[in-house]
Amino acid sequence: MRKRRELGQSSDIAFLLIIFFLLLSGVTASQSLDLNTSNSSILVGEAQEHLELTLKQDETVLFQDRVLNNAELTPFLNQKPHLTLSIEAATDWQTVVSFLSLLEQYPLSSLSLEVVP
Amino acid sequence: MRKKRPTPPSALTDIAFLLLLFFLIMAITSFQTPVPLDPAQAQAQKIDLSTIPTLYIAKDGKIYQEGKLITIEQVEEKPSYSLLADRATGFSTIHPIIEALKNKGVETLHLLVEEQE
Repeated sequence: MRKRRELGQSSDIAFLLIIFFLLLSGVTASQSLDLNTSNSSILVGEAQEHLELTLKQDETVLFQDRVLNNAELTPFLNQKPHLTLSIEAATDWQTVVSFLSLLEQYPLSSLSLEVVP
Repeated sequence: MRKKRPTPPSALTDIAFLLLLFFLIMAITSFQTPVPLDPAQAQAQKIDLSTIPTLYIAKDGKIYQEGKLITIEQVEEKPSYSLLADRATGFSTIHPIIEALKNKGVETLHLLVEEQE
């Protein structure tokens, strides 16, 4: 009878420790979008296409002064372009991050961020 | 010789539970940001933050590291940094910081985001 009680004690401690490490791992891990700054400069003379897009503060994306929706962007971004993304100065970080999250789905050769007034 | 009084079986669990609470509180307090920040939300991959230094950018562009207010010149040269900025911060505030980090030789920037609801 006493032995059974002791076994229960150690399993309680083990259970609490498991919960502790589970919670701790949840605290230290975070979600991130990776921005590679080393390949963000455009290499002259490369075969890939050079694409320039403008992200406006109202979340619209312009290509040569024409508004593109996500479906229209796909063929451009699938060509592994060197992308220069000009972002309006007043654009909030949430809008920028949302667009960068979208860009992560495409095979870009390089990404350069610029700010425009 | 006096007979040793048996230890109550609940004592060990109590100690373990208190230790658990202590480490949990420690972990949570060490993760708190130095300034109130409302992170941007996006779909992103999970990373382990324990080995990557984190820079916190307030709405006014002030930079904090390990709870201290620093200038961009004080940022040490390291290959990667994680960056947590308020979702309402303008890109004109964040862009100079990204460029300065790039000039300091930072190759990868982990843009920290909150899991999209």
